[in-house]
Amino acid sequence: MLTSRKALVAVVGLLVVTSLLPIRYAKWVGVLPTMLARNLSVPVSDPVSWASHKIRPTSSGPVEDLSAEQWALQKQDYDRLNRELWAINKDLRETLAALEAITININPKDVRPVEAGVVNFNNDRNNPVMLINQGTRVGIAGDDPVVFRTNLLGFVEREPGLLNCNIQLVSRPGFNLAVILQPLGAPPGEGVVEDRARAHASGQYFYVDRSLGHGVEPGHIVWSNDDRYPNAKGFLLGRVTEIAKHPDRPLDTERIIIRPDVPIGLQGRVMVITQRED
Amino acid sequence: MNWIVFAIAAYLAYALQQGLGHFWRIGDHEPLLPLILLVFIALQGSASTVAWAAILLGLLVDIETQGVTDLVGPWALGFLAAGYTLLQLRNLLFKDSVFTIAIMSLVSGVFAVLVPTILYAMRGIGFLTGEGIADFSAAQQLFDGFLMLVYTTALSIPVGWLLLKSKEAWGFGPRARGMR
Repeated sequence: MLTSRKALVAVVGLLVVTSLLPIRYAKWVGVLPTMLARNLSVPVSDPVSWASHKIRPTSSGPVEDLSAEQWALQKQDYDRLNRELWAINKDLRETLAALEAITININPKDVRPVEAGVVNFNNDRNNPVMLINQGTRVGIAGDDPVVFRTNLLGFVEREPGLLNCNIQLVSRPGFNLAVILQPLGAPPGEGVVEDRARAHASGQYFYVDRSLGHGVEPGHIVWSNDDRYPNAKGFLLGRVTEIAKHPDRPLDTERIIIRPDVPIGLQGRVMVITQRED
Repeated sequence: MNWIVFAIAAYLAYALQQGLGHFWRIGDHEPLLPLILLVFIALQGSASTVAWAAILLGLLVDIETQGVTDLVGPWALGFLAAGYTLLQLRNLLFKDSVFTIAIMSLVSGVFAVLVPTILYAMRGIGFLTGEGIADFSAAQQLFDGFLMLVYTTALSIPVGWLLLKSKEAWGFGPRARGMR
């Protein structure tokens, strides 16, 4: 039979274990004693609680002082707000579904993503370059696209090193890329506008110049569709944030401003999409 | 110690803690009645009595507060540490003074608060559970615990007085000099 001391040690050990249990299991341990103690304490705690609320009443807010008409009006407001929120929620769900439907237009069997750490970023406006800690040893080749999640960041330099390589970022002035502009959430192929996006000299955004009536609006997503970089097709360049007048031809041309979804160059880890060799 | 009297007192402490929550709450802080009861028992009872009473009262706090998580055990271990502290110090104290109960509620309460805080903080360590508690701040927990102890100390004067008046009913045996 257990002595008191041994039992005490056993109980303490058990308590240490229950204290460090993962929450999903700990809940099961606490359910029964909690329920038992709360039910047993009701004969005393309920009258005491009632008395304490009488002595120190809950501060009455304006809601309790409403007349029936005011209450009805407020309910209408809440119902309207509820409907609006429901509609917003529905839109967001559809947008999310559309985003999930944006397929990267490359066959996963043809490519092999390689994760790499960013060693350095020079932040030079004229030639922004990122140095990563992987090279040809893991199969990286020149012009392989470098992405962060679904966002295109740049391309591997023409002659990558064995153990590391520079990435020419898409934000460098003069860089251009064939892209597709499409309304967010549109089914594949619908509302597609093909053009060539160019990086602005500031390195802050890209732009596409198009004649009036192009149909592109703020919110359209812009993704790579350049035959020079087949493995980059489908990765996002950014989204349309503004339609401005063209600085030189304001009467017949508009400048579509595209901003990237992520700050280009400031990532800690990136993915290089390499061609599968086998 | 008469365990039936203990059961009644623990039941009352638990039920009053539940029922009076709204009445005596100042900000987010409530006094901890079971701690006052533990201090009273620890000043009078034998060592093993104190240990078991501490665990039982701590378990009541665990299932009553369910504050940071649904865990059962941290407060029980904290109360055990508080009981042990009281056992170490009680030979230096006037055990029948209400002020002893008040001061020791604060002193032992520090250990009662410290142990659960450590256990909550340890949950974030990878090789243990690696399941840190969201928004948990040990500093905030200790600060809240300190305010709760100050409140408990203030309340321990009338409650301690009542407990000392009922001392005969508890049936504590005689304690020889130097005995723990």
